[in-house]
Amino acid sequence: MTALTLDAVDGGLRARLTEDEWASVATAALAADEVSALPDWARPAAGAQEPTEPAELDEALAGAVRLRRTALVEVEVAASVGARAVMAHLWTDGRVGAALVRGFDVRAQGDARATRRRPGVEVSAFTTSTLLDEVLRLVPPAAEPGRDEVAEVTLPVELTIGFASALRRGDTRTVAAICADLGIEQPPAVFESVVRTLDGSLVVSVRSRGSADVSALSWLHCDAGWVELLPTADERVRHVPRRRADLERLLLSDLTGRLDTALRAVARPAEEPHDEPHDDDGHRPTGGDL
Amino acid sequence: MTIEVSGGAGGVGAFYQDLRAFAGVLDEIGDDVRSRSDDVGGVAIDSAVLAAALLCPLEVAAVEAAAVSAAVGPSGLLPVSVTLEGSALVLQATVESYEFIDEAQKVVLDRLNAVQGYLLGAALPFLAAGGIALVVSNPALLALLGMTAAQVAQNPEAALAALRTAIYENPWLMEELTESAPWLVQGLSSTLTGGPVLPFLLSGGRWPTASYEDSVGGLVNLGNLGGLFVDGGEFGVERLEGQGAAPDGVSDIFRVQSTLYAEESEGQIQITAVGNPPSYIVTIPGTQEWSPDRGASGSPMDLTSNVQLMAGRETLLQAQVEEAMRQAGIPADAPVMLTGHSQGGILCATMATDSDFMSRYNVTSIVTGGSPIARFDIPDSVSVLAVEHDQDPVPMLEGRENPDRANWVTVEADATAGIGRNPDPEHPDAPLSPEQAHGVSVYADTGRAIDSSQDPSLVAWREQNAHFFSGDTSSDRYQLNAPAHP
Repeated sequence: MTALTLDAVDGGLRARLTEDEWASVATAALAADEVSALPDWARPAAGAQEPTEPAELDEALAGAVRLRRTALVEVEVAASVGARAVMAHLWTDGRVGAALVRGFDVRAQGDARATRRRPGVEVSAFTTSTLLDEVLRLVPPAAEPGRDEVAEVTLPVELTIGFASALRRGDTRTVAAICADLGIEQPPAVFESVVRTLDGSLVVSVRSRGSADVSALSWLHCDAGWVELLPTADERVRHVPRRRADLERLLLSDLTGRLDTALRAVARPAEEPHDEPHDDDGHRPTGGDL
Repeated sequence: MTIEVSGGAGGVGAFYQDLRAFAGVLDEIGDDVRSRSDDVGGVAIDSAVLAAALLCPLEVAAVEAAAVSAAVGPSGLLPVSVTLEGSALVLQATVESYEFIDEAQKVVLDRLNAVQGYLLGAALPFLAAGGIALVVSNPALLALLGMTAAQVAQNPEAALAALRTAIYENPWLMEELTESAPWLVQGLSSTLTGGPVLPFLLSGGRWPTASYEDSVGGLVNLGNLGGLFVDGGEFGVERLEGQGAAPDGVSDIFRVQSTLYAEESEGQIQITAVGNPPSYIVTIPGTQEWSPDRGASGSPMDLTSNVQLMAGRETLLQAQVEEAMRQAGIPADAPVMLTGHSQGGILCATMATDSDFMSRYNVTSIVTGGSPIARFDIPDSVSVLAVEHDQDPVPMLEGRENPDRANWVTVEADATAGIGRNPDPEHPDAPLSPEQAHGVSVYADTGRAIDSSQDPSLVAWREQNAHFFSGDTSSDRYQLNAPAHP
């Protein structure tokens, strides 16, 4: 059997495996319950050929596949634009990172979209310093109109669906009535774009040790580029045009917080908070104690 | 005995039916008023009125004007009919929206209910020691671990380790442990047939998202299901007067940061006024524990509100810090130093690149420790001191080198080279692990070296920022409270 290894591809160490090879690697590197614990899309396809002999498995590749065991942070990406989609899990233990990626074909099926997974997966290994770039690599490109061309707009939840369907079916009376109700002259550009030309989405979510919550980011792809819908406390929905740089910033901030929390969870109780500011050099005048 | 009733005259369907009927009534009234408008307007061209114009033209002109005004004037019948018909259309659109969202929720719940265990994730979060009590009291968990209650009591650490492994492999167990509602969204485990859970929920049960409507339905329903971290809302910032000690150098900046990590200081920032006229040091600690929680319990670990939108959190935290600065009475022209450890440093950089914020405050300096800020386009006017340990993976997350510019000093320190002390008493000289190297107290130790360094860049930085560290001081803490749920 040919040795399966990680090779330098596209700025990282990667192995692009056929479905049979992935079945072989997963079986060799993971315990049976670990394979079954993989996300549905990540498990070897049911029809994949079981290896007739043990795979000649590169240790680095095996290590990448096993990294989830010791991961501090896990990022999940689900992106689709047009006829293609991708799902991925990325992990880091604070030192190195690994990713498991599968592509999908997307086709319209009635009023929904059906996916068919493409055979084979990509396994990557990288340093933690490139985790962010590894996530960004999976994000489909999008138009980036100027902020003044497509402005953010906020609409009441109760009008969103009705407004959208009226726009789409060309019901000018209802569109005019809703615009009048909102005090605007015409449908906002970002809203009209996302209603008429939506052809994809991006969901990035992050979880980590030491924290029970999940951070999520959900964007829609349309002619106006990426648009994020954000529900507000007063039952409205913000429609915010987004740029790739926004994803960088938001994800970097979230990953920082998560890795920090995870590291402190691991370190506890080895690292306790320090005492008060020391007064070795004389305490400065202060209004009170810590 | 309690009974559950759905549907019927008191059900949501009947309510929507009533709303649609009401919209129909409004529309009919609008039509009727429009028809009356035609009648009233017709007075102006009635043959009898036209004939009367030969006899009394001035009076008839007044009648005609009044008729036209009553029919199509600003307060006339025609605008009223347009308003009524418009209201009917808006009401119908509203009903359509709510019906769609309800239907999307039904689709999602039906599919989730079809999955045994409803298992929505949470593979990684570790449990506190309190988890042991749950194990002992839960026969299913004991069976899963293959241990008796006595064995668990004898060796709780082993039981906890086994439990963590079990949860990692069987995330649906979180439901057992949290006694949550069956559909509680706790994570991302993706055994749901057909795709991952969170994208599935966010797209209204149809991934990949095919329509705007599905996405709105998914968002709204996710909020209803699990307490989605909404964007904005009312929040409180409470001043805790006279609490906190003033930092007198880089080392002390991180020592103050350290005190903000203490349990009793959770969710606090500190603002120190220095000198007269004062300069201000704003101290922002890092990460999750201080981020406000939307859950009913007020605990940051509350599992009922554990899906948070990244954008919402950032917006909220920045707004809260700015509110604290407003309460501190920081004048627009007073020099401000923002300091942050880890994610707190990212918030400092975010605020320094926000032109609106910078138009309200005169931020002249930023000090960060263990924060990846290279990707932020911080104005040249802001002095930056970024401290990073070689063994700390957090500042490496950006995958970029900090810019080399006159007003930006980066201190990279080997945390194993005598700066940090290993907290393990048996191996005090052992290299620091990544988690230790990220610790704020080790950054305080590095800060001591910075405070006494004769490196020209650091000497210049100290001179430039001396006004933040000399003169009388007063420090106040500010408690950032969780916003109220709508």
